[in-house]
Amino acid sequence: MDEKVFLEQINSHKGILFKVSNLYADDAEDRKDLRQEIIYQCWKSWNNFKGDAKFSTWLYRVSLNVSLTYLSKQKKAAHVNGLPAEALYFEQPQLSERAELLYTAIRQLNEVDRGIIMLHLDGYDNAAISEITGISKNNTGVKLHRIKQQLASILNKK
Amino acid sequence: MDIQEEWDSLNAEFEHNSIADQIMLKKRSTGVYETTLKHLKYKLYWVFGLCLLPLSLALLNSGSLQVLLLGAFAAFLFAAVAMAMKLKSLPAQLNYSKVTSSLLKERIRLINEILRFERYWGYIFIPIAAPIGIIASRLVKRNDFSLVFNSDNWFYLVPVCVFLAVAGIFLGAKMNRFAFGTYLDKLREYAEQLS
Repeated sequence: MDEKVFLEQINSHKGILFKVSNLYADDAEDRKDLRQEIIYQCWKSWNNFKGDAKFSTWLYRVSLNVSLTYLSKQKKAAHVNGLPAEALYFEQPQLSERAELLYTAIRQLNEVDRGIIMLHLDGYDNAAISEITGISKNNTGVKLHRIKQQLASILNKK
Repeated sequence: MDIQEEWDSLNAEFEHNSIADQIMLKKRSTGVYETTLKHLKYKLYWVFGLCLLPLSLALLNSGSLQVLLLGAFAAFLFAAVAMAMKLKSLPAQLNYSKVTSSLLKERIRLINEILRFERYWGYIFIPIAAPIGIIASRLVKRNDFSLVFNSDNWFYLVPVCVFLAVAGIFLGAKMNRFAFGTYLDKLREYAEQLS
């Protein structure tokens, strides 16, 4: 597949990139960097996409993997300055107040739980989440139950 | 608040909002592993460059000093070749479409492997750097190993060399801990959560 076709494919699924980058990066510049890194790694891993899974599932997997291993500029700066990275985010001009509320609540979960709830809310069942993340199916169910409770409690406080 | 309902409307917002960010393919990765690999490559160039210094000085000198400088050249060349072989053994590109927990474990293993190699490399080459420099500077005046080693000030110089070696190794370990410690701890935490 040539670069142009690949980018078209990515473009038609760019919602995934924006959701993931909003959940894992701390400001607009970091989000953009993270999106670019995801696209780069997708391109580099493209030969491993066999087509037996949906492109969106594959893109979620790569996006989650890149996000969990990516060290954002903000986190680097926070590490150097001794500031918590969470204190430096969140200006999101495009989203409505309710959407921002949900995003802010999800961002209060730990990084792994953010990925699990995102996959769950986007319609992936426990088996699919287990296949993407490597957590056992049973453990996925237990984790999801706990994450939902935690999320509900965060949202109720607001 | 119904979380699923809110999430679905958020998805719809993403669909409807025209996000101006251009989808494009950048030239190189800025990921931690990829950057570490790039830095190791730069160090390799630096060590190869360093080889040229004792070699060129050896060509301009003779006697014991030339032997010492050729020895230093051989040591740095050995270090450079070892580093080049290590670099060749490391994957230039990780497969990000792997299962997340496997990718995290592989990432931790590879970064630790690079750091371990640098540590062992430091154990060998940091302790010899100061003595080579001191002996070379003495040889310029005294021309012969026996004259240099028979001078009485080694009683003071040996502790200085030992101190410099220990300080160099300690500093290297501190710098690596500062650069990678928090990141590796975080990856281990994620891997633990996914187990």
